[in-house]
Amino acid sequence: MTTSRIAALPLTIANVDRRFEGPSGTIQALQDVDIAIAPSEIVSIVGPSGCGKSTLLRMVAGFDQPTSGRILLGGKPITAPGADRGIVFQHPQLYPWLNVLDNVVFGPRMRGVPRDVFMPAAERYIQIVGLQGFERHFPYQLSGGMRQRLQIARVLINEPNILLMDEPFGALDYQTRLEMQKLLLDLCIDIAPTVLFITHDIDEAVFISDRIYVMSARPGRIVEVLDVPLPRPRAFEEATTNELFVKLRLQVLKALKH
Amino acid sequence: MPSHSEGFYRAVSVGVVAIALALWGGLSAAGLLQTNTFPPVQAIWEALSELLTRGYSGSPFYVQILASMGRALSGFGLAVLVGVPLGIWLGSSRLADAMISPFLTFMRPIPPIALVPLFTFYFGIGEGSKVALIFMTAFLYLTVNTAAGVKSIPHDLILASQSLGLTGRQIFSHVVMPASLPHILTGMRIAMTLSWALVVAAELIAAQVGLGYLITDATTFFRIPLVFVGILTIGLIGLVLEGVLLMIERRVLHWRGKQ
Repeated sequence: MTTSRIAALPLTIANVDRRFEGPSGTIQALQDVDIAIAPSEIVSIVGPSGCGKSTLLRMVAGFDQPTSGRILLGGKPITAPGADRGIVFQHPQLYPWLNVLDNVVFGPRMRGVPRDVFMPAAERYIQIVGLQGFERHFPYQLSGGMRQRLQIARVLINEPNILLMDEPFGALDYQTRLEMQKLLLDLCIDIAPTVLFITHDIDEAVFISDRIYVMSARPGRIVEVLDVPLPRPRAFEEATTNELFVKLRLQVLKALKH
Repeated sequence: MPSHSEGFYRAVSVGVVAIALALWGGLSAAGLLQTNTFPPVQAIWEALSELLTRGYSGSPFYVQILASMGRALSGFGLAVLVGVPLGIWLGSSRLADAMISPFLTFMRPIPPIALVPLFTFYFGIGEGSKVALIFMTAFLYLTVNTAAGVKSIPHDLILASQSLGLTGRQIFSHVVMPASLPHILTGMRIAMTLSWALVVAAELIAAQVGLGYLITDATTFFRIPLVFVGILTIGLIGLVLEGVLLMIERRVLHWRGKQ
């Protein structure tokens, strides 16, 4: 397989606050959040449900704006959704009336990319996520894991500067989740995108990340930042029995109870 | 619960219909049915062959059928032209929904029959009032169903489309439209069935031709076998219309309900 890296860009989240005006007054969802991700880094945010981690990811995607603070991708402020950021939802948002190939090429086709450019790219990314042979299948004919593979291929074909993954493997069974984590690590070696990964699975966070940000319950604040200097490439059985892994996992757990 | 194959349940349906027909045939053959209350099979045949050869009150049978179908399809067609775009608008704009839905909600429970006198007064005793009545019923159903279809689209699917780089117009034509198509087509199928069923009510308004007219007129002359032929024809045509639309729906929407 040819390795073609995509133009990974750094992400800076600086002093970000997000407040919502609710019927019972102001809700502080996020408070003073600072996160810096270098190009091609894999960074996880771990936190309890409702801590605002998805809100944060949606602001990076451009679906929402911070109340105060700045979010910069490659030094430029984010103002609207765009194909330069690839978002992977927990529940794959596929087009059920399109088959696998048509789902993958939908983005470039709509943006006016020539067919002789997106067709070879589609073939490549379908192969990277392991869906070759299923091009003519429809989403309803795929398993949960395969649908998530499809969603990832559909995002990768845009060659985004950053991948935004919102608990992408949270709805999958254990075995499939491990396969998908391996897939993500493999494609990070091949394509090396910047990754912002939201999860509440501590093992997953330690296994895949270069760095972990732990968030508190509402108002969501960063309570701990942990570097994960485990060697790569990582294999799950080795990594999870590594002493450092066990120590990091306890540190995250402790920070969460904070 | 013991489960059987699809074929089993289909066989049950066919069997029950066959038994009902056999019962009717048996009672007819035994001479237990009265021509002017519940006619035997042979009386229906006679009425049908009379209709086919001589027509009814000056118009051939096929003209009666075409007249009714023409009214139903005109009212239905207009309802599609107005109801689908309006439904899409109501489904995508909260403000439009807030302004227009109260009227639709109020109109929906009113039985169409209650509008007959008023529509006759407004649109006269010609085709206008009949088509308007069918339009009204089909339109209400289609608009509400289409709006529900647009509202049922997952918000994340729209967000995902934005982040794939689609413009608002592309999201409308390539995401919102196909995603609400199941509701629109189901709405069309049911509105079509309603339109057809309403023909009889519409043709109560001083019609001179049509299956509804045939039924009401034949009743006043106690020609009950003719009434039965009219009712059976309406039922069979309704069944065919429904079947054809259901087939189109299944072909176009092979992906529906499998997510």
